[in-house]
Amino acid sequence: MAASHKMRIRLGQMATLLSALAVLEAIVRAGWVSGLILSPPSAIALAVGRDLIGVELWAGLKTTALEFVLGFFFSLLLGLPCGLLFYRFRFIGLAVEPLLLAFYAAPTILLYPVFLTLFGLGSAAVVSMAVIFGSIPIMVNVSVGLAGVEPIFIKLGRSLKANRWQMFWKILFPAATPVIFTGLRLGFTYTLLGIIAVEFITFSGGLGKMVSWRYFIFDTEGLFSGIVFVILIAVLMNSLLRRTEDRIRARWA
Amino acid sequence: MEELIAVTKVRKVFEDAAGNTGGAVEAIRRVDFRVRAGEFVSLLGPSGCGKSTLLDIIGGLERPTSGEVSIAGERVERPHPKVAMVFQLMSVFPWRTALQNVAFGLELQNVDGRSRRRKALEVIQLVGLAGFEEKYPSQLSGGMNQRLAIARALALDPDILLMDEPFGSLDEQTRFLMGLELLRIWEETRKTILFVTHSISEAIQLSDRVLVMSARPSEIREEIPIPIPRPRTIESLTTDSATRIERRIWEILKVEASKGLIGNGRKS
Repeated sequence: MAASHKMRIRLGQMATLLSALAVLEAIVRAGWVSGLILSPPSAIALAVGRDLIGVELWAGLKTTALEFVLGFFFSLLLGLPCGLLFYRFRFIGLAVEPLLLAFYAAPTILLYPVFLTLFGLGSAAVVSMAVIFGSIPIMVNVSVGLAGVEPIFIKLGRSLKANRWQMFWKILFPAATPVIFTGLRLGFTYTLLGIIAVEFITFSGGLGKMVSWRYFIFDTEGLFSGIVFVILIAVLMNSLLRRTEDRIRARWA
Repeated sequence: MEELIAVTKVRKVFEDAAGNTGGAVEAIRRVDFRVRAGEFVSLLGPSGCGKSTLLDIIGGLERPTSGEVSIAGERVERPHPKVAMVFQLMSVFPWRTALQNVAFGLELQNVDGRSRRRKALEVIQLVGLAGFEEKYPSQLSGGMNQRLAIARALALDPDILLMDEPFGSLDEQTRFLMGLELLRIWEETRKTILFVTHSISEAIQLSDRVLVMSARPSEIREEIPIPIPRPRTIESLTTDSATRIERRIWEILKVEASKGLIGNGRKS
């Protein structure tokens, strides 16, 4: 019963997607919208095929992937210790966390000229901007997660004479794991978005530049093909992480 | 019989967050009592009377403002190795299986994996959870989780169990049955148990003696021996003499509990 219900929802989703594509195709083919603005899905599919056997996509993907790995690495490198610091010295955390969240709500991406002048046009500027996006959710969630550990667990640890190391690794850290993991997932996603957005605006390289270039040369099909790849990567990564997160949360519930 | 726990003139004042004495709260005024080896003693009192604080002091988690606690003649300044504590519900770790939860204390003591497992399996058997070793707490009922918490304490082979309202969040029937289980475990292992509760029937069901505490700042109002023969059954717990004890405790508590209602009823 439950399985068939799920199946039906999946089928419904597929049908919605396919009919949206069919409508798009019809609109463009009928000439209601210029092919320069929207490409028919069939043409996009062909462009995707061309990209798959071409060089540009893979070169761009390589640059983006490299920048992403660096970006996420530095997001962790900055986020984890800061999160610990905010937890350990609660007054710092209480002072800084609201500022960080406020800063996060602002369109930080507009700061990119500053980073361009600081680091020059290239991967360094892209990565450092992405670290701003990626590290904040990590530090906030590490700190909030640790601070939210049930006091009874800490009391239990004290009654069992856990040393500092055991208290952290066997009680605090595992107890905070679901919240910390959410922070990692957000950090991961925002690092990726940051990388592609900055590549797009600054024209420095990678998938972002590829999409932006195609936009400038009126290669509409190629533009949409690039967008398809970017979306595919982001959605795939996110759903993978979400599934892991659900498994963790199910265990902790 | 030897005195295992000696609580002498213990007083506890909590200063307010800023540390000035103006906002200080006197939680415990003066408490004196002794517990002999193998005894089952309950601390019974109205909510917020400081009984949990007193248990934390005996467990070495809090320092008394004055007075002292000693266990087997040794002054308590930190958690004593021969003492294990059991808290209210859900102190078991949701990320560990039943077996891993029970072995937790031994793991902290760096006991090797094989002896840890052997001991954990033995106490899981003792608390009646055999067959549930690989389950996670979310797959077990509230009563079973509390058995786990008791097993985790027993795995350390303590002489003394300090239990802070361990069945406080269970429904009345489960609570009664858990009480019988605890008595069985107590009779099998001959531990000394100091048990905090605010349930009169639970205190009578379990204890050799009940120490009735006053509202905050707390003192021991009265010591009530419970001469009901063991093993205790529904029949022996509902005789006239049992009911008389219950009425007597009620009369003391009625006064204290209403004091607690009038004063600020901060949770202990």
